Amino acid sequence: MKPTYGGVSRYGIVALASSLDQAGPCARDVMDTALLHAVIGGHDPRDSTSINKPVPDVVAAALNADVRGMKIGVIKQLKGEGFQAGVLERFNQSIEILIELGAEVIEVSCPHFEYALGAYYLILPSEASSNLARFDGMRFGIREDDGKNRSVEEVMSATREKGFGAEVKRRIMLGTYALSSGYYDAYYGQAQRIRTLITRDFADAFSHVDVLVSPTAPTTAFKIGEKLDDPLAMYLNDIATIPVNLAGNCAMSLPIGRAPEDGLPVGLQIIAPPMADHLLYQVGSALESALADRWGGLLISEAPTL
Amino acid sequence: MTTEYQAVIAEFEPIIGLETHIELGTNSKMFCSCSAQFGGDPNTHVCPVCLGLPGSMPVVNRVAVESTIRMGLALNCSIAPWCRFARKNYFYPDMPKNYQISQYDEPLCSDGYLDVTVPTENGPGVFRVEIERVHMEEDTGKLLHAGGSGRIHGATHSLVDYNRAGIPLIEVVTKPILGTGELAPEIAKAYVSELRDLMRALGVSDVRMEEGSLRCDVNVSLNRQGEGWGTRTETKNVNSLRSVERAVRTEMVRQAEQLRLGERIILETRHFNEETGDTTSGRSKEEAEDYRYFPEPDLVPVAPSESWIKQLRGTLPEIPSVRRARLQNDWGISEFDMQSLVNAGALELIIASIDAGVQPSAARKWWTGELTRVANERDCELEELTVTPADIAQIEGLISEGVLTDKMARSVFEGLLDGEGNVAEVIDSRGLVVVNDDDLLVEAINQALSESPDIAEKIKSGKVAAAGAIVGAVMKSTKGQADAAKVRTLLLEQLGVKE
Repeated sequence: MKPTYGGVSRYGIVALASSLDQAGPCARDVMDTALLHAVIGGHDPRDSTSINKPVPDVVAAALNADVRGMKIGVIKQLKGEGFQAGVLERFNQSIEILIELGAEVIEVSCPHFEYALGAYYLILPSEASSNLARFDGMRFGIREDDGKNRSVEEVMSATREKGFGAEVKRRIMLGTYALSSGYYDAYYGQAQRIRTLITRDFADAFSHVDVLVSPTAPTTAFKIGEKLDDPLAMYLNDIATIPVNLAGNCAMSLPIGRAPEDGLPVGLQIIAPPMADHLLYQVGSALESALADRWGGLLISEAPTL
Repeated sequence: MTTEYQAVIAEFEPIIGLETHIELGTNSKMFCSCSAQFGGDPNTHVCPVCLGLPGSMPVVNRVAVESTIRMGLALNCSIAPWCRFARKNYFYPDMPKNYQISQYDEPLCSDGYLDVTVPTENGPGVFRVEIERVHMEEDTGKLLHAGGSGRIHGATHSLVDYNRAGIPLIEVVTKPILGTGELAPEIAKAYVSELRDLMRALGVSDVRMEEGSLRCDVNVSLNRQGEGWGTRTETKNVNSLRSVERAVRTEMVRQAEQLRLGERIILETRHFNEETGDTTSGRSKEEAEDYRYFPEPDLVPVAPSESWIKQLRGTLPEIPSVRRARLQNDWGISEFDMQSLVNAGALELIIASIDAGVQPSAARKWWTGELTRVANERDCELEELTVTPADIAQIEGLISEGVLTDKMARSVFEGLLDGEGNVAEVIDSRGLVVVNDDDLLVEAINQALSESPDIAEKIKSGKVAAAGAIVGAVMKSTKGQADAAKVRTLLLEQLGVKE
């Protein structure tokens, strides 16, 4: 579950990308997730970006597992090319169930989502390059110093060379470049404009529907380390979840079965407007119980065999 | 004014610009609740936020925003209805986060002006300095380079005190100041002085310059008449009014020498040497660091409402220039006298002395007379002297009670200025007590009369003016600790002579 940006305090969480980072609950089923959400959510005076409004009543919504009369939008841009057949099969099946449960499903278009990945991979590294700067061996991080009376710069440089992994360094370098004088407007500035356009896409969509749905990822899980040499392919796996991060609204990923071709789990993403987190729990628990009825239990109970 | 400087002015036109950082006098820091008090044992005014611990987050100090808006309003700026903080990224241990939270392209206040008064050939003249922006930021920690000479070069290690990290600063940036001509150094000084007085009048900072709470970066360029603007240099961390004036002047002279030799001025930062008044080359701006500014994502934008701004406008005090005009009138002094005491840095001290109970004329006498002379002699600011308005009130009180004579009061000042302790301690250690015992005085008078019988006769014969010699002798024998008027009265009584 990714709550609305600002729905849960970030104080105490080591920051990667401050404008994207959001803590959220993760649990065995929708109700447990809602209970945890109700506990961790809410305003924190030590995090001024946390929203100073009551937490939506997510527990009541999880109890109210009813989608009758709800309007659900399927995002046109997040179900076509690049999506694994088995993922789409499970996704479509879930849509059928939601219709059976009384929801009205229509297709909506979010035309700027195709730029989301590019924008995200400029904003995240930019903020990360700054947030991770403090891990320099002076006060934080390991300290790589052979005691040979080296300068501050040399100790910082050696510390960061040794302390960070390849992917982190890649992102720090990307971010440092994107924020550099002369490149800022072309990269960071453009990325922020895309972010605004994506937020507008969501606002337009939510003027027609209550929630949006898509597969959580275009494919089932790839093997650990499999795409290290091809970062772009790896980043592409985030294509469905990134727009939500950029716009700051809330989303939930719910297991909806296994892909026939590889037997790996598939997730359904439900997206709601900012501070409408409760709608996710309402739709999620309705779909979860319908699926559990079919499977004779939750998918997670099969976890050891997956 | 040196002929060297006059030659510079004859050939070149200066353009100056000033960036002034002033620590706000808030109770807590800019982004956390740590004390913003000056001093304290190293690293005692710190918390996870100002130490930049991973996971900590800043929260804006509302009072600091309020102070900045009031400063902006007093400087006739427009206040942004919406603006953000920005991160200034650089790797240096004075900020544990390796970035400083500042404002970049969205300052809270912009486009204002400050009128300053400077002496000209035709008496005091008003010069308008235009303000580019006023923004907020956090101060950095203090590095102490240990081993070697105390400078970074040759040091064996460096110590960091984060007490200062996170103290709220406001930065006031002028637009390029043109058309100053030879008055450039005076205008620079008058501007910083006026800015300081304004901050104090607003109560947003007491601007203790000796604690480094006001730091000025001085930009100077020269061009020949009719030519385009010259390349500027930026002299960093000029920390007193007098230094601002000197930095502008010496930099003008230095640049003129370079230009006459056909050399180009390099866009660079320079250091000001308080001892010699010279500037030396720092780092070149052409190889300057790229701070990679971007909007601070850990903070929400600052969006002051119109009603808040209106309310703050209502809290603005009488601005210093208006107050000066009023005081000049109240005190019945000329514009020239007012300007001289302002230039001497005596105005606030005089006002503080009056507030402490001193008569206006006496307060002016001490600060613009004896104390200004000592300050000039010592090459320092009046407020750096170890005499306070409260001391003056105390001494004046003792004079009117007859405990001190004028002459003894001067001795007390001497003691205070030499750091001999407070008023009571100086009086005690210097044995400054008026001899009020009539018997003792009469004894001294008779002694003096017997030593000069001829003068005694003169007085008796009606030449009262001759009494002065005897009074003088008595004052001498009592080491100045008698009240001369009283001695005179007693003397005439003794001799049975009427005035």
